[in-house]
Amino acid sequence: MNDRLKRRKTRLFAVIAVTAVMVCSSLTWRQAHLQAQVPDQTDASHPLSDCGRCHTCANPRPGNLCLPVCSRMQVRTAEFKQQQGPDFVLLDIIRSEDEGVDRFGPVPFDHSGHADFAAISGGCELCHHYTPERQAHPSCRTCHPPELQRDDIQKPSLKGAYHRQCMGCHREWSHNTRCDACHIQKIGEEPGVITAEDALGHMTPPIPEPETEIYEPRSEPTIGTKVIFRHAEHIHRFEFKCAECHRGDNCARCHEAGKKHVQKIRTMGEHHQDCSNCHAKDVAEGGNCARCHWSEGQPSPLPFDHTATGWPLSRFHKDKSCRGCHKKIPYTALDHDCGSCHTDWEPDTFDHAVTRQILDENHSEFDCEDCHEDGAFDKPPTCTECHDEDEGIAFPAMRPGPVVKP
Amino acid sequence: MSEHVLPVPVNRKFFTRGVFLLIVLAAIMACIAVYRFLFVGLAGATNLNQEYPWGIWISIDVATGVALAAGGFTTATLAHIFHREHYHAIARPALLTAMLGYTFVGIGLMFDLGRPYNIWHPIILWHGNSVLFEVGLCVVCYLNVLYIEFLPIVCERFQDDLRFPAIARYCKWLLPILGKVMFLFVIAGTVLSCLHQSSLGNLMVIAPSKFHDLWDTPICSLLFLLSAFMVGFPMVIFESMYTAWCFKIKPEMEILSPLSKYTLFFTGLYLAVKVTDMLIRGSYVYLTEGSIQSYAFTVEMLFGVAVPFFMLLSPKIRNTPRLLFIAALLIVLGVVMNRVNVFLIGYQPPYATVSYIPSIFEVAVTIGLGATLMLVYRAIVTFLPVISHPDLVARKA
Amino acid sequence: MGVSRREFLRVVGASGVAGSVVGVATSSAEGSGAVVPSDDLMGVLVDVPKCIGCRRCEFACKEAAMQASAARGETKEAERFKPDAIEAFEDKSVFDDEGLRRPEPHCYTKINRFPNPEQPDKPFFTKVNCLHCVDPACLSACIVKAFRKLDDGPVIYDAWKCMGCRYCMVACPFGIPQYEYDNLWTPQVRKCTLCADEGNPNKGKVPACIKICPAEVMTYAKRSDLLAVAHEKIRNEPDVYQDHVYGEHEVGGTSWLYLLPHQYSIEELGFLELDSKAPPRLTEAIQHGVFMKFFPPAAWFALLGSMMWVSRPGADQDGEPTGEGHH
Repeated sequence: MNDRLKRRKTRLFAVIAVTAVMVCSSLTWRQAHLQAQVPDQTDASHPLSDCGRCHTCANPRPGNLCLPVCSRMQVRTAEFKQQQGPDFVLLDIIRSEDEGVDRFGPVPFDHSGHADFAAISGGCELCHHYTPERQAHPSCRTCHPPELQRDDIQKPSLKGAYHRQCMGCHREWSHNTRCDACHIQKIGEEPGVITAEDALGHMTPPIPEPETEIYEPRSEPTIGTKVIFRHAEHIHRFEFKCAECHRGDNCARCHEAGKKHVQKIRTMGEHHQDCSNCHAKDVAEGGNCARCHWSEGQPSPLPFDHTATGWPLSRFHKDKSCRGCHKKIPYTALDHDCGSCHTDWEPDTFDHAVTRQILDENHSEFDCEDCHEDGAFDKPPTCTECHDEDEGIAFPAMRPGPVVKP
Repeated sequence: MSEHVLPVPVNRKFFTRGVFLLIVLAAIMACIAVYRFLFVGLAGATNLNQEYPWGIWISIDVATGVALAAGGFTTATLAHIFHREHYHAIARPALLTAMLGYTFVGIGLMFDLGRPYNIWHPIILWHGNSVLFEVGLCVVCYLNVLYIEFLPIVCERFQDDLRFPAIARYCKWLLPILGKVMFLFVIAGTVLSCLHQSSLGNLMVIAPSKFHDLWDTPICSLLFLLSAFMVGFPMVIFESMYTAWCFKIKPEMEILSPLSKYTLFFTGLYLAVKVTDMLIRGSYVYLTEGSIQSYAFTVEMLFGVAVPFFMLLSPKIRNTPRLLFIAALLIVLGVVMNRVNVFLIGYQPPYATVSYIPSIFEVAVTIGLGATLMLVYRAIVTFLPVISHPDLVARKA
Repeated sequence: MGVSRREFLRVVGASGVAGSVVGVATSSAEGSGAVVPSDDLMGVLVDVPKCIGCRRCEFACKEAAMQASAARGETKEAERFKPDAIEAFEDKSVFDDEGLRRPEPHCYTKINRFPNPEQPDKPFFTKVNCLHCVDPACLSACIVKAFRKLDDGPVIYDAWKCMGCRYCMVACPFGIPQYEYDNLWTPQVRKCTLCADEGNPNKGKVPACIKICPAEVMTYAKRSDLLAVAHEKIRNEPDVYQDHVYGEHEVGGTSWLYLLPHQYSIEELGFLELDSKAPPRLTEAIQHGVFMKFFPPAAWFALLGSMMWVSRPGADQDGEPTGEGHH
């Protein structure tokens, strides 16, 4: 009896237990399945679903679109000219929100300095990215309000806009996010009148200029394994400004000279772009590759020699700047006729003393062609018009007047 | 059904060599307690860090402590609720183990808490959404239930003690009252145990991204409950045989052998649910990943569940004291390992740069707590009527 | 079928082996809805590619926490929060020396640097701090409800309630709460408060880190508005951002939202790939299923009581076995 009861109870117990386990597992997995289907609660935010995001009135129509001033991120209708803007701007609109405490002070901004270098990367419109029609140069505040908490969170506030604009470049080359790199930090006292001098004091340290760069092209060299570029020659002798060659360049290339910087892989054309602006003929098919390329073990290409152009520079021209004569970039061959450059040299007004040869009374009244046959001013003059060569009167042994000591 | 043997105090010499060892371990723990609470705090005493906020004090002292104290409610349910009078002999030792176990869980928790003086806060600051709150509140209630269940044992001891007539009178008055209402507490004990044993398994489910998929399952609480059912009787078997060995009395195989049949059932059930869960979730793919977690899981399941299950299938093993002891021990260690795996090994914080290895102090406290528990257990069975054994009665008579 | 099935489940559950069976069964029958972010919820949109890594936010955060501690009279704590001079935060070597930088008990936010493969001189920076979940796991986990979520979003901590169990640290999917292990008597869980803690000078205003940020990487506004802006930015500049707003769906949504650069995966930037379901939804469903206004425990109690009655000694001698009728 006892045993039977015991058996029955055990059986009942087992049945309940097993049922429970089965029910439990099946339900758990059903639940897990339900939980996997999380309702998708995305996207009531498509711009087309909300006209009021752009249009300020209920019924925009052609002619009256009710678009706010800053409707788009980027608009450009005006061409900027370098040096068009002010030389110096004091940025002092934003005050720190802390009651009465301005932690960082205003920023003296050297506009002309930035404009000079703007061409290297981005141009004026890098900063002046929004110039809608009839608003040649809206102030930053037009779109970027100075308040930190604002209705329109699409665009950064004035503070954010300034810092993104400035730090975007500055941190790239200086790796420096120090506040006092731009701000005149107030330490206790009023800084007094802030002038452009304060901005200059914040300028970047001088950049070391490379003298001569020698590259070893990674691609299969067909015309020599090395390439020479005389950087110093280009800036000091040819007088190129940074922005004339460096366009859209990586800041670190100059600001961190010596440090290996990663450059993207470029095509042959892209590789030669910087040079071909001037050296178009050399770079072109059948050009003079040896101008820059040479092979190991051979002498490297020589620096530029003006004589090779067929015009050895005389004492008058050798100290002149390239741009004194070659007005256009790239530099091209000039007419040998003096008048082609010295347009102001007229026979009536010409002062022969500039050639260091003063004409004495006897010679001063001659026409140019009397001595300079056929107007060949680059050749020694002939005296045979008046003088007999047999008497030993010839240039330069005998001169038509005193010589100016250099 | 065996004839009733009344429980009596063991009445053996208390101070033995083993007891001295326990005292030394307990004393070391006491020193560390002073060091931890008065001088260095958690930073100096533990190797816990920002990524591993829980160490062995939680995974062993608390989580494992709760699991191993499951013998109390399983035995009480069997003996008192299902009225298997046959097992009354083991009800009291199991109750004592549970009572001490939970008490030491509380003490262990005090070590781990940053502000142990606030340990009572859950009683007033209820937070029904918190799994830990449920665990905490149930443990507190159950601890009180256990103390009430233990009260008759104390009363029995003192009701005839002529040295304290007032206490004896009070005990005599209390005993019949307790006897009448005890069934309420016994049932409450089982309900509370089921609740917190299962909720304990729900603790880590809140951190699915850190919890290794081998253990992270929505039915983790069911698994914890089933493993508590599973480990209850083996713990009683282990402890009964160990006590018998300590006091040099014969293990009561006629009680323990049939008890192991229940264990066989619960072990099989646990194994089945665990394997089913693994198959459904597909978590078996992690078994071969070669990580410490995969090995820990394999060892836990193989030696902690599967091997003892197949051992217990054999009646010969169930009736052989030594082999039964081994099987019970394997199950106990398996559950220990499971708790440590869930709370420590399976916890993989994503930003951890160093892994957690318990400090010497943490280990010493954990050992010390175990030693103190055994010491108190021995003291209580020596002086209070807990163990009923024919040998002891015969000796007394 | 629903009702009868639920009834059936209750019966089976109540007479089954475990309370947890009831829990899982009922929770699956009734489901558990995700917490929907309210309209008042404020948020922060972090435009990660815009960050210049100046670490001013770390400074401002420490300063605000210091002022808050001082205002609460915790002078010793205030001392620990005290930041170095602002120039000291200019030190970039920390990015190289400290590995992946994580918050510390007295530094709620940290910046990490990741190289930019396309523009090596413009590395990316990410900001780590509490994301202020819509449905915070730390809050759900806390045994004494020491965490509160304010209506406008901040999840803040009441130290006086805390007993130091550190379950919040276990629960947080982002590993944010930091513990003052070295504080002997009054250790606290520390994490970003979104400057909404008592005594914080920025309470009710723009949080300190957002206010100081020069590049305005972070925008503090209504979360719903920020999400709209974030998606528009992604549409306008697909070559800058990846098409994913981190924090929109992760763990049920967070108040902090991140626009990430497309060059990296989420994990490469130190963020975690997380499920869109808030972890507390599962644990609380199980939890409330087990309790369900104390019905299952009471049923379990009654069932055990009846079993005790049925199997009492001498019960089966009263008459014939009663078969399957009782339960």
